[in-house]
Amino acid sequence: MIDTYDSNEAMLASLKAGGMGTYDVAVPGDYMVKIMAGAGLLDTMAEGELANKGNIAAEWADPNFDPGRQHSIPYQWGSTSFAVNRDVYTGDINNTDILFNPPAELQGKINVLDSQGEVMALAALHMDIPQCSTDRDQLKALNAMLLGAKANWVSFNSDTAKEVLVSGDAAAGMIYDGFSAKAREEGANVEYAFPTQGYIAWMDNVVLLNDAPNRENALKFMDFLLVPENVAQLTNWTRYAAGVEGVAPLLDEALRTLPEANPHEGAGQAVFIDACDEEVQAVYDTIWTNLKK
Amino acid sequence: MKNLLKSGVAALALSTVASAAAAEGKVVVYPWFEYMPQELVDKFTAETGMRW
Repeated sequence: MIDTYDSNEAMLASLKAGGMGTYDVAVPGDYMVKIMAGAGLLDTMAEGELANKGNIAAEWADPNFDPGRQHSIPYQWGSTSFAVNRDVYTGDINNTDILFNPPAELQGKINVLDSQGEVMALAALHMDIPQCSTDRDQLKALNAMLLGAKANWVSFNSDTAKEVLVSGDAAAGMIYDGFSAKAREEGANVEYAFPTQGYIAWMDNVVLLNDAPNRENALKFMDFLLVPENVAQLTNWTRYAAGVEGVAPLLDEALRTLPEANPHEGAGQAVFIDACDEEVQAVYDTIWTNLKK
Repeated sequence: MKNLLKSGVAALALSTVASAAAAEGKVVVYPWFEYMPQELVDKFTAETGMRW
């Protein structure tokens, strides 16, 4: 039995609350790698410690959230937006109104991810305000918008985000692209949206934690996750995308044309989540905690 | 006898794998839920002798 988590913020909180020294590696998203490095939670890998580091795809080899890949390697990347059950709603879904100002057919039938960074970033796109804004009026409006939208949500859940769409307990739900593909492949008549306002792009990464009890083994595990055959096996299972060279020829044919990974022409921009500075983050934490009450 | 021998070899092989696992130790992974397929975890153990 291994410990798992359902959001970047939950993982960070558990590590800060005494989890350090227990685990060797964790799998934070891009912005969370930056936050963890800033908080001193990540160990540094010297040049040459990872035999397979050169397998990292060029576009992911020097990301702004971990310059030079000193602390992390790519795990998977993808997007987060929302999926809609087309038996319930047949109108246009490529608009963040689906989550935050939903049509009558979807009101009270929406699941939202229990994931602060993703909800806040998508809400900022919906309102066309910058992430990590410190403008008081914008913050007030953001808070009011979220509280109003919540009246139309049935649940806040990440680990059942796929199941509630398959079971029909939710008619629409915020979800990751691969999870939405799995819901569809499991029989739900859902379509993944690419809102015109934009949607979330992410990369999850395996990081080497400070005080890792098995540091040498952790490095071997990370090297294992840089072997194309292994990453292809992972990617065929997750339905996301890989950040390692040589994986593409080993992927399922269906992944090439996956609707969830191929935005249509009218799609907005895919936007990475910003890591707010600590003071600003505290404001967003308050909004989030209040929303979750 | 042949079968006995075979199963004896298999048992020996198994115990070798088990002791390799003990010798190689483990790696403690803290992932998102539903994010690491069991087949991949098993492959890692088979290749390195390491457990999760």
